[in-house]
Amino acid sequence: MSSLREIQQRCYRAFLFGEADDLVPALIGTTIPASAQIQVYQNNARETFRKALLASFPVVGRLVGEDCFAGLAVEYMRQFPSEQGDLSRFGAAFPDFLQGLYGASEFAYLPDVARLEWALEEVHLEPDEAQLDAEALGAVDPLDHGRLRFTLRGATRLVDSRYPILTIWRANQPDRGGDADLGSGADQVAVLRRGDDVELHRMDGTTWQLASQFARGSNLERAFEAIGGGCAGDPSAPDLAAALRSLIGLGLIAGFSLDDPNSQSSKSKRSPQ
Amino acid sequence: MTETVSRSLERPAPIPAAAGIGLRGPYHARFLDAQPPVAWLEAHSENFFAEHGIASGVLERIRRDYPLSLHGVGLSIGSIDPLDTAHLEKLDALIRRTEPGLLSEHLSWGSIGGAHLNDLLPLPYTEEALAHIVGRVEQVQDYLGRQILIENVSSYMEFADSAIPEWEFLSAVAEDSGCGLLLDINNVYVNSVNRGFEATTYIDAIAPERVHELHLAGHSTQAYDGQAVLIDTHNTPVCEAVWLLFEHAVRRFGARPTLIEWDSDFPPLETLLEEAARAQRTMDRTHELAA
Repeated sequence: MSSLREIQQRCYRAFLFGEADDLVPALIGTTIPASAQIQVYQNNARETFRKALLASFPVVGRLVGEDCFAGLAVEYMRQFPSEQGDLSRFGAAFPDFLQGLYGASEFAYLPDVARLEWALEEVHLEPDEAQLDAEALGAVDPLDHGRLRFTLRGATRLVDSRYPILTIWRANQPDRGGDADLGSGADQVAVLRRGDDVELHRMDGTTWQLASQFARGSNLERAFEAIGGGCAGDPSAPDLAAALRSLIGLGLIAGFSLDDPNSQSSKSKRSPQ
Repeated sequence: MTETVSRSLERPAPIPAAAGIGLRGPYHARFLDAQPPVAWLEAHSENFFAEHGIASGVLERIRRDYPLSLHGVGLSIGSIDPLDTAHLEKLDALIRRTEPGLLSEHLSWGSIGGAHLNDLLPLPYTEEALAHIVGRVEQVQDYLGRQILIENVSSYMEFADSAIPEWEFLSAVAEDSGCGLLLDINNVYVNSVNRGFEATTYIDAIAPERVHELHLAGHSTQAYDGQAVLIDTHNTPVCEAVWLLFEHAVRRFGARPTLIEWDSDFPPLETLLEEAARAQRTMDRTHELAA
């Protein structure tokens, strides 16, 4: 007689990896042959994980086609077995899995499209934080603006790619034809939750850099220095004030604090250009 | 001086002995826009574990208008793995937020060595498995501080070591752990056809006082190794044979909270409401006959 542990281990190997030889003797086939009993659960596993991945990565699914996606799902479920009783994190490693498969190929945009889709999944599960208190921000002395440390909303992801991932994503929504010019340039995308919706916004380079600096914890002065804001009135300099307004307008900024004026990083006080 | 006005949410009554439907994503908007006429709703617990996620917000809004039952699909209560306390913590938090009238899990396992198959896998019906699952149900009930219901699953495997009929095993789980039962009539039917036993034998072996909820769903027929197998797919209407078995169950158990479940190939909400209405008529008619 097999122990419960042995039965469960045999089932796992049979259903996930197709190694069914030592499960067959544990079954009897009064009406359904043992081989068919096992196939039902092998099929269940393939379908459960394929559907879970497809729910998270519908655009990747459409780009690679049904058969290819089903094959990817089988390989993925074996390399990255589900670690939870709920499937909400099951697809977390799928972008890296695709990177390993396609990163050096003509389909190198696929992992980045997957990163964008996973960002959508993640922000669905995160809190919808309050908007920036514009009145409080307006009350900050302009001489202290360099010490402003902005925090991005928690339910925000910044995804960048050498490929036009937002264009690809939009072209592959259910009501669209799928045509996207892969040569149409790089995309830097902010994914954020607002109420019951998730929004995607393409950002210009300066706005992207500023958001990335804030995500790293830089205060305004340090962010401007890192991006190279130049002097006021210099037409070739990045328009950081416009970038900041854009971030606030998009709702990416959740709040702010003022760095200690005595700290090393905050000696200089200057307002946005 | 700040005045704080606290308003306690008016919670609907506990789950009535009437027909309800499974609340799934495609129907959320309908329930937010209006209040379709149905006695109660059941949601899959795991879909609402993210406390501040969009789905949880939607559930909490819908919850204000309907009695709610929570139905777990991922606790893996029959697994030999240690109980997943992180999963239980999330379930406990969800219970506190939504105050479900009923709480159910499955007579199944799904993980081994920390890897999950995310399926409702059957146990062999042995004394070892019985002692194991009784202990686990007791642990879960102790942790959550409330009774849970255990649901019979569709089982496509027949273990050579099984020595106890499924209905006796299920009854013993309830008897020994103090849990209630959620009897899925479609699963009884599917197993009876696949394994060749009389479905009414199963129903008649279950003590009515243990049954707190019934499930009704559709199945499909698939071919494996040239053999036709009924699969519990929840993507078709309840079949006539299952309606008949439901009538038999209602005659034995009386009216119970009865759920119409669809989990894929979702039809218009009206289809579920019509099936719920039919389940309600069956319960009303059977009740009148008994009176």
